[in-house]
Amino acid sequence: MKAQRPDGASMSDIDRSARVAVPYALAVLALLSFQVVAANVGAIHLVLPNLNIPIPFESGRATHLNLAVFWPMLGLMGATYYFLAHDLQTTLWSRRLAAVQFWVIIAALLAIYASLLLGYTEGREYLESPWPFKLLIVLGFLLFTVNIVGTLAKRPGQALKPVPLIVAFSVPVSGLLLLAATFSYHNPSVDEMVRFWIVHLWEEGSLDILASVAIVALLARSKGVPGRTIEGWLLVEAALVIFSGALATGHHYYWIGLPAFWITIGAVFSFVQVVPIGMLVYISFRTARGMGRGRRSGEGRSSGGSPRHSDWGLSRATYFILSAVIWNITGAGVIGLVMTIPPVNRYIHGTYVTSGHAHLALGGFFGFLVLGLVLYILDRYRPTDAAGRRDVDLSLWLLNAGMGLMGLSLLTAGALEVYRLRVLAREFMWVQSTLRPFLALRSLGGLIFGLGGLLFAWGTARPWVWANAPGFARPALKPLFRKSSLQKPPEAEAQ
Amino acid sequence: MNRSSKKNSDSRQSKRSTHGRGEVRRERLFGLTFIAVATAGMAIFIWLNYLSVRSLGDSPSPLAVLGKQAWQRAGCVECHTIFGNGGYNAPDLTRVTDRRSDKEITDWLTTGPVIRPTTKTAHVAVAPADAESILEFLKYIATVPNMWDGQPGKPKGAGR
Ligand code: HEC
Ligand code: HEM
Ligand code: HEM
Repeated sequence: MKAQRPDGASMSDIDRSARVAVPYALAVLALLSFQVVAANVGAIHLVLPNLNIPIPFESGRATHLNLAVFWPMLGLMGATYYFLAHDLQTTLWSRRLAAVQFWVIIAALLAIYASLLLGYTEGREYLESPWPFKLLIVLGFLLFTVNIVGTLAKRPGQALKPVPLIVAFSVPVSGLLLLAATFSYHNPSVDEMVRFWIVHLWEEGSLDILASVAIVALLARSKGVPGRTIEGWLLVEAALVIFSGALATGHHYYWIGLPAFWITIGAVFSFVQVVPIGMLVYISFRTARGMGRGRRSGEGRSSGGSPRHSDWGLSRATYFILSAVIWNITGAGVIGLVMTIPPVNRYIHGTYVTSGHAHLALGGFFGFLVLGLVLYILDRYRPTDAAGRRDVDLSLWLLNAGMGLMGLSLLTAGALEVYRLRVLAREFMWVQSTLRPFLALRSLGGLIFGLGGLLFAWGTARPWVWANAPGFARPALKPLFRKSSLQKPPEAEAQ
Repeated sequence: MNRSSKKNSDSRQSKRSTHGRGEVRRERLFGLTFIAVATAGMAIFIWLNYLSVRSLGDSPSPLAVLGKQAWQRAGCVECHTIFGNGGYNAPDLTRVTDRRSDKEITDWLTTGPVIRPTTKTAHVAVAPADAESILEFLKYIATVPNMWDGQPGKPKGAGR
């Protein structure tokens, strides 16, 4: 059965083809490491503004935002290739094209970060990169679309199946949205409007459904629930995400000079938007719960070949994905919903409350999700070694704790800010100065998150970067980590 | 590729039959419904955006547009908010022209004074021409009928 794939491609052919995901995953690790280091500098800058930091705050923040948007995107691209090939049980249309796409995007990203750090900015939040580089990323999406259409054409009978259908919808739509947001518009209201096609419609629309696909495809490998059942729900979830997500963009349109009907539309559809998040939580936990209960074979198209080694990668990826799902319902769903209520939004709009939500949603949901996917993909091609496994296990706790502390302290700072600035109407800079203790706490959370991020990158990248270096198994740095007080080998024995 | 896709449809057929015809039909129904709902959502959204753009008030003057570009070049949005969107560590500037005189603003922008909470970092300074155009841009922003007053706790128009 294993050798007889529907299109004559053997499992190893499919796996070899899906390996195009590996560079994407490794690039995510590099960008993550860069982000957490730089972000900590920025967070400390907010607490200790007198520090001499060579990079101006505005350049650093622009870089941070462009990392926050683009590394989850990159990870999702790789995972989409991986799971699409396995879902369709076919090789990708062109591995070379996937590689070209990868390098186009990497070139764009390097150019973006270099220009932002040097101070060349387009000055629109989240879209700061100069337009030629955004256009390069659009080109990346175009190549992605071509490759996906080509791959689907190999299995035309499958085009209406949930996974291929959602991918084929999401990818070109994401590219078009970015194209629309590439150039800035003269009218500031139009500029803001289009900007949220990325800040909101990517993250809570087109990329969100790719994320759902990846979650379901990965969890289906544990076969807790037959693949077809959850895939059916996946379509319903994705349809709801797109429909409500599009109209819920209105919650960003309340105060930017657009007609007042957006206040009603944005609020109503933000409530609807939480329904698919609930569904995703249900699907994920239901699937994950079935994981332990032996494996039923032969069911579900996503089964994609039996794991070649222990299921450590799958099990740890599942923990990351469950973390993501929890941050999704709490940080994005519940907090987002409260923030959306128009009378509430009038007070919290543009305060650290928003920053808290942004971190919990973008970092908590997309961040953890993509890390889970990266871990799974890398581990399947080169099993993580024992030391790397311990690193990853520890990083799961550090990342979650760091994100939690960061989110909570930002929300607390935000609540105080709202009260002092918006209710008591105190002077802005005075209010800022009273928030410093909480920004310090946030910085601590960022530090813990950053440690976790580096540890994660170190643990998962080891077999790829140093596999052939003799005696690498125990580098000098490791014992330091082992003995630190942070050490609490979480379920290390569970392997 | 031809060879393999032929083989592909054969075994697909056999796999399908185990799912049954109704299964296939339901799959197709779900798929088409997804396309319909998602496309409808996007279409309604785009249409409402179009209506919104059509109902916008006056466009910014050419000088205000220059100001917007200067604002963007200098990355002011990373610290300040406009319409409440942007960075959180400097005052909202949506209605700054209501609380500051023209001269105060252009002086501020050309001299680059030390900014709180630091005791040594200077505010971004721009060329006098840019300061003039940015001022025009900020004046335009203050006229946008957007309901955002930045300080709901405070009667509108009160000083800071
Ligand atoms: C590094 C962050 C930062 C950047 C970038 C920045 N500002 Fe500021 N700006 C501040 C801070 C902080 C204050 C408040 C200083 C104080 O009150 O002591 C301020 C104050 C102002 C004020 C006076 C506001 C008031 O309510 O009195 C104006 C006007 C202003 N900035 C305009 C700009 C413009 C225009 C730009 C872009 C060219 C810009 N700023 C870029 C941080 C920044
Ligand atoms: C994974 C999903 C989500 C992500 C990645 C996300 C991300 C973000 C980001 C980055 C911002 C900051 C925007 C800015 O700086 O201008 C933001 C703001 C906002 N989000 Fe979300 N979000 C998610 C889900 C939600 C949900 C489900 C809701 C509501 C039901 C919501 C409601 C809001 C609101 C109202 C704001 C504006 C806050 C303000 O007025 O300042 N978000 N979101
Ligand atoms: C090491 C951990 C991190 C630290 C210390 C950190 C620090 C910061 C700082 C200082 C800012 C600017 C000021 C502010 O808005 O609060 C910021 C903004 C932001 N960060 Fe992070 N960050 C971290 C991780 C992340 C991650 C992992 C993501 C998402 C992938 C992310 C997404 C964002 C976003 C979207 C904003 C803009 C918030 C807004 O405008 O509302 N951050 N971060």
